[in-house]
Amino acid sequence: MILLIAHHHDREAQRLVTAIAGEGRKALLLLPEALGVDYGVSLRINLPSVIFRITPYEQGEPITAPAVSLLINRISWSDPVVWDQAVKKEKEYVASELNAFFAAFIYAFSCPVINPIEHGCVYSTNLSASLTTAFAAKGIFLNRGRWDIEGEAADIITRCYRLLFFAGECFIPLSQQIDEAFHPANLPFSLREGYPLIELFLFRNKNGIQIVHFHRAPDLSLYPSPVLTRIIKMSASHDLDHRNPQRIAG
Amino acid sequence: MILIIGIPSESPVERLCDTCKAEQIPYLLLDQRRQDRWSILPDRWDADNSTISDGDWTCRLKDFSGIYLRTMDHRLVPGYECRVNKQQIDEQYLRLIGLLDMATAPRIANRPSPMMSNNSKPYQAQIIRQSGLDIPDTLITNDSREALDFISSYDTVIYKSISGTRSIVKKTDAESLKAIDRIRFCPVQFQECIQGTNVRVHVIGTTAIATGIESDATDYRYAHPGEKTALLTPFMLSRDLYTQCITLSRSLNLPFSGIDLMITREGRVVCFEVNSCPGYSYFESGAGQPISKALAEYLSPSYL
Repeated sequence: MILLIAHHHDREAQRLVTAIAGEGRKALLLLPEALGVDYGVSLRINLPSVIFRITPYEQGEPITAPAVSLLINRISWSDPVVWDQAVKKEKEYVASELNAFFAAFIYAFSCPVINPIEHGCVYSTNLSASLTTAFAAKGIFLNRGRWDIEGEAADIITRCYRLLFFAGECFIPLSQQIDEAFHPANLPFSLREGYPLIELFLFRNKNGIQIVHFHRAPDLSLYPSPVLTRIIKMSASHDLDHRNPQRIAG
Repeated sequence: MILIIGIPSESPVERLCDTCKAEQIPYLLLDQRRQDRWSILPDRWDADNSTISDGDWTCRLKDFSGIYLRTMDHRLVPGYECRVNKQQIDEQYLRLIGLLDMATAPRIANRPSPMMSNNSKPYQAQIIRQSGLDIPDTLITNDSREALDFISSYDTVIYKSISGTRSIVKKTDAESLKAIDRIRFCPVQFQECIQGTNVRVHVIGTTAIATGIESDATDYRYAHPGEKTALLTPFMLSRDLYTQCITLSRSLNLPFSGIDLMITREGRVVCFEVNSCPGYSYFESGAGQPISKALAEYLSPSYL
C-alpha cells in the first residue's frame, strides 16, 4: 500500500490516489485535519520497537507498518480545523501538538518516505543549509524576500521557470517551453539528498538566476508520466529501514 | 572572539557574558532589545564573509570563533509591536537564521535547524532510541481505549505535551480519566512513570557535566520552595553513559545540549528528552558546576 499524507485542501493528493490505483496499486489518503473524524491513530515507542496503527472509523482494517511500502508526505503546517470554535490559545496548543505528532508519526515509518522528516518538523520554511550552499556555489541564490506569494510576488511566480527534482533526476512541466538557461542539462547541480521530491521556482533577472519559491507538494499532473512511475517504483524496495540503510526494517 | 545573541538580562546569556569577562575571553553581544538597529548582510558567495552589525559594531561571521544563540521569539521582545520597521526586523532574523545554518567558520551552539528537533518529543525519542539509550515506554494516541489499556498496564502513568510547548508533567488519576474521551481530536502522549534520580547532563562539545536532582515533585522544574523541593548536586556519570550522551548530542547536531535522564534504584537509565537550547543557569547556580565556563571555552578561539 502507498500511503499519502496530505492536507484536506490538496486536490492533487486525491488525483494521485486515483492515478496510483490506475497503475494497479492500492493507495490510502490520510488527512491530518480529519484525525478523530475519519480515523484514529496510535504510535507506541519503546526500546525494542516502534509500532503504529491507523484505525479507519468507517471501513477497512487497521493499518500497521508492514502494510505500507511507500509514504508520500505532502503536508506542511496542519491547521486543526475541528478546533475552529475553540479559544485561540487552545487551538494554538492543539496545532502545535498535532504537528509535533505527525512529525514523529511520519518518522516512524521505515519504508521509503518521499519528503522525510528533518529536525522534527513536518514543515520547513528553509531549504537545508547544505542545499542552499550547494546552489550558492553555482551562482543560484535564494531570494527570501520573494517567498511571500501575495501581490507582486505572485506575479513573479507566474513568470517563473519550474523544475521538479525527484530521486536525483530533474523534470520540467509538460507545457513549459525549454529555456536553455534553466534546462536541467545546463544546471550545474543535482539534488540527491534529503529532498526526494521538490519543486523549485526559478526566476532570472539582471542579478542572475534566483530561487524565489519551492515546495514539496507539487501538482504532478503538470509533469511527464515517468515521475509517477518512479514514485511507484520506490515502493518496491521495502527490505531496508530507509532511515538507516544499514539496518533491516522492523 | 565569541558572539552571544540574546537578551542580556536573561540568566544563561548573562552568565556566559560574566564568564567571558572573568576568563578574559573577548565577546560581543548582539542584543535582542536593540534588534531594530541590527543589520545582517549576507555574502551570497561565502556565508562566513557575511556581516553582522548591532549599530555600534560591525563584524564578519568569520571574525567569531564561536556563536551562542539564545534568542527568544523576536516578536515578543518588548518594544517590537510599536516599531515602525517590524518587517525589516523580521527580515534580519530570516537572514540571521539562514546564515547561522550555513556558516562554517565559527562553532555555533546551536544552529537554528537542529534546535527544532525538540519541538517533537516522540520524534526525538526515536532518535534517542536509535542511539542506544533507553526511553520510557510511550504511547501517543487519540484512541481512549488504547490509552486506558496502556494506563492499566502500569502502576502509574504520566501524560505530557508532544510538542515543544511547555506543559507540566502530570500523573493520570481518576479525575483526568473522566475526560479521556476528549483525546479523540488531539492525540496525547502517555508514558510509564519512572521513579528515580533525575539527572541533567549538559553536553558541551566533547565534555559532559551532569547534575543530580533530588525532588519529591513529579516535575522538578515546578518544585517551589515551601511546597515541593529540588536539591541539585554534581553527579558522576559512568564512562559508557558519558560517551552515550556525547554521541546522542552529536547525532542531533547539537554541540550544546541538556539531556534529561532518570536513573532508577535498579540502575535502569532512561532518557526523556534532549533540550536543544538548555537553560543551564538553573543547574549551574544550583549545583555550582562550571557549565558557562565549559561553554565559553568551547566557543573561544583557543578551543582545540
